[in-house]
Amino acid sequence: MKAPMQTEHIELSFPSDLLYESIARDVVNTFAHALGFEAERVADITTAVGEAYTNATEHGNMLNSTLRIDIQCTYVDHCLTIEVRDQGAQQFTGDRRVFSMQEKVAGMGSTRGMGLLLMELLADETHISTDANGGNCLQMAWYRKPSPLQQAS
Amino acid sequence: MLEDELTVQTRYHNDIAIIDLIGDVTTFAEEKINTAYQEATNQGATIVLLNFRQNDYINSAGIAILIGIVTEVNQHNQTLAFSGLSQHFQKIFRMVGLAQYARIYQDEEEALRQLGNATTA
Repeated sequence: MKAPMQTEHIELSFPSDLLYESIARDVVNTFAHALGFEAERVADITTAVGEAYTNATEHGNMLNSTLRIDIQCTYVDHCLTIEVRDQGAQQFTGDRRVFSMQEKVAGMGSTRGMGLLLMELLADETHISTDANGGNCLQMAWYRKPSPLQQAS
Repeated sequence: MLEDELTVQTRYHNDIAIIDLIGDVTTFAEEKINTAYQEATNQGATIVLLNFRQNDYINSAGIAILIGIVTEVNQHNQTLAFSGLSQHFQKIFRMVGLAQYARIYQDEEEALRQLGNATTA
């Protein structure tokens, strides 16, 4: 039986186009599964990365397909950290009016805008920053509980 | 060029319009889903059942489309139901508060059994 991965790192780069979002999800899904995360956690990770990719494409790079989305996945000490970076055509300011579901259903505000909320709900940790090149970096982390056998080793 | 993945098909079971969503429900799905809903309403459906496929993906843009459907359903005094959602997306719908606006069933069979009882009661 193959030993579970201990330290791993992969890097992905895509054109800033929503049509590549499913490919990004599929790769991260496979990676998280290979790391030994439980099925529901893999689903959380996959959905959150899809939201991050979409957010970076639509808002960070403003749907400019000449720009790039870079994704780095690092697994160390039972923690998977995923960074999704855009090239900052539009900087994230943190000012967002998110309407409640009640307000959305009543037609009082935009039905969109739940992407960041979903990422925060699905990840153990989230953090948004600006990198040295002015691009937005959305970082998420998930902790995988080690099995009793791994804890004993 | 990568293709749009969602296929939308509508079937009818008495007053129930069953809208099958086959593929990922994302921003690209808006026109197809809204068109299917409008046609079902024009056909007189009082109950709209969105039938998802277990392994398909729904993102926040897809949820936004469904919220729009909820708004329309409320305006037309219809009943909205979902079937076939994976446990993961049932969880997400509860997390964001969408679950309180639609009946959620494990599969189409359960949905038709429960909704059919409601229409004949």
